[in-house]
Amino acid sequence: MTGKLTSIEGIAVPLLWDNVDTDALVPAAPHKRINGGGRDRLREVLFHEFRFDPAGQPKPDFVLNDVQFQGAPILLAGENFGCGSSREVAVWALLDYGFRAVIAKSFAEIFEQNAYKNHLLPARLDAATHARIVSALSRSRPPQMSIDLVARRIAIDGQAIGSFSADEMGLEMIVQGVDEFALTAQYVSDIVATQRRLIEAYPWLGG
Amino acid sequence: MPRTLFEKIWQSHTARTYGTRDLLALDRVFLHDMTSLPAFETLRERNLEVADVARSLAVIDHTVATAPGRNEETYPVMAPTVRAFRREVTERGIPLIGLGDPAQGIVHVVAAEQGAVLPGMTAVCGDSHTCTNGALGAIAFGIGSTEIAHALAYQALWLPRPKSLRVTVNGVLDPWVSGKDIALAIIARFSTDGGTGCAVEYAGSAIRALSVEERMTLCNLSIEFGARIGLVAPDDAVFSYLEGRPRAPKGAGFDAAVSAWRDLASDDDAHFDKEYAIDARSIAPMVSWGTSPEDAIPVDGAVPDPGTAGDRSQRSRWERALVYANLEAGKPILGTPIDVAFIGSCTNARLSDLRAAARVVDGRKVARAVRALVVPGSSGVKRQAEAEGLDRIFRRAGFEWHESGCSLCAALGPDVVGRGKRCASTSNRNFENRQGPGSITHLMSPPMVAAAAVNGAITDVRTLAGTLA
Repeated sequence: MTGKLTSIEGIAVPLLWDNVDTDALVPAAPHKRINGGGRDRLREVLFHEFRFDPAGQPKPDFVLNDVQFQGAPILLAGENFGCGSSREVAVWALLDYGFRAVIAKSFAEIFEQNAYKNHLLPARLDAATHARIVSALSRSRPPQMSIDLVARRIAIDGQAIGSFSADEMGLEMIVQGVDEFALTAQYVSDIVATQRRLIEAYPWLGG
Repeated sequence: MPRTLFEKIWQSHTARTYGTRDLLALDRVFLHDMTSLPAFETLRERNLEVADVARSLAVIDHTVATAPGRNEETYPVMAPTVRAFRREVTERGIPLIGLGDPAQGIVHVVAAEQGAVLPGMTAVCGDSHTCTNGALGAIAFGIGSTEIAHALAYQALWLPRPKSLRVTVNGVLDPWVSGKDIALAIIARFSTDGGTGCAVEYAGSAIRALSVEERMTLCNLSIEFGARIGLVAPDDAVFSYLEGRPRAPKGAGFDAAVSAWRDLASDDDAHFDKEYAIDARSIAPMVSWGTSPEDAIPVDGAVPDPGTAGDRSQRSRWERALVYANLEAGKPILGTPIDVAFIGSCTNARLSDLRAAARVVDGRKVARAVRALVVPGSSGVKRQAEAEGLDRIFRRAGFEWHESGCSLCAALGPDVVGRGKRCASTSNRNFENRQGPGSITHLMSPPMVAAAAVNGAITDVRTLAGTLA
């Protein structure tokens, strides 16, 4: 796992579609073709059907192919980002491509939890902040954004522009560079006691 | 204090609370061949063991071929993954249902058939459609691969506590309207993220009247409504469904379980964070036109005009969806020609689905140039369908009759729709490229897909059925 992460700075790419789904993030066909459905080379698979035409040539009108956004660590999305499947490769592909944060009006639940577990920041914005960021980004070339994970604030070109919300425990894991496995290890006795109580009352819950 | 069904199960399984999250004890962990391998890597890296193999079950379904005569090596692209999955689970002593096993099928279908999910349980699987078995009165939900590792190691997960949402459907359904149509109608009306952050309880007279298998279809689509969890209070229909299943309790144990399961209902004055309602009589057979499950309309409706969209982002999404689906705004969806008809998936490939489709197909022929296939939800469903002669009805009409697996629902195996081809599908997602690169998907119920296969175009099954003897 990565170390502590208190800020993310760099270019933000606007991909303002709503309902960006996990099949858009990691489509099955190139995923199977490129790495047999595995975990390596996922940067090639990310948004594959939008980045490349059927002949494998980059589509010039897709925002990730725009030269001004190369190397961007922040993706600005619309609503319900990451809907669909539970496939964690969707998060791994974003990380492998170089993203450290996705900021959006809302996220699909499983994607959001998968993001926290891999220390990809899923930052939620209210509609007004989202609109301010969209308009500020359109004026800035290239748009330089900084995200303060501790204060939960976002700035563009050095100007504060608003705050984001996040799941408390998830954000703490990213900031501290820890994960929940270590936390759970402290509570094994609680799990065991709960399981025992349940199985005593309802024996069919056992194996 | 009155509680919802969801709260009763969740609270009894909460081992610890930390801030806004609960450490939820799990009763069952299901695994399949697509998302589990990284979890085993995580276990190895962290030197963790599987806590309780007897409460896990592994099934091979996602990445395999389904054509007759297939085996685990038939699809060379994913065969190494299947082999590695088989090795990982076998080494750890996790029970495995692989190809060739008479119990094989799609994991959620198998879990219910085996009686491995029971009312009041918490169950997880690395698949978003795990919510299917909420139909049995369980909290069942999809998780990522890191969560699979955590669930295997600790038989528990840290989860944000969901809000509660009740969707009430009262009234009597048209005979050609099914659980699939209810779900699509709910998603179309309340949007694909209408249930995000919620555990959805489906209630009302129309839900009570659904068969257990139709409730599974409805709960299956909870994730397309944004909700990780969907459930229905268990009743006599569920108890008789479960009686005699291999992993269900037997004899006096079953009676004791049933008497405990009778308490699994929301209290009369329980509070829900959100309430939605829909009138059963208003629901027509539904068909999706676009690239999100919320893009669903009554089959006699028109493809929507982006000019009438609720806001700018919806308008631009509709415009893109129209281009992708190659449809014209304002035109009737009826009569749209199809290339492929798919009856399958964890949404709609149980025995009652196959029976309903066969009723439409019986004595008819699949339209020329349409590739039609049935991929039963499990090998058990396939055997039972064959015993009833359904396979002969489908084959005689020109359908392919496959072995069980996920097939064209996710295109993770060799089955794909084809670029620019249009598929009438009983599956759950009409995302771009979902059924293979360039595929165009129209979600609908099994009888609706059967009608489309016969006519070679999107058809109102109510009018086709009217000609049945």
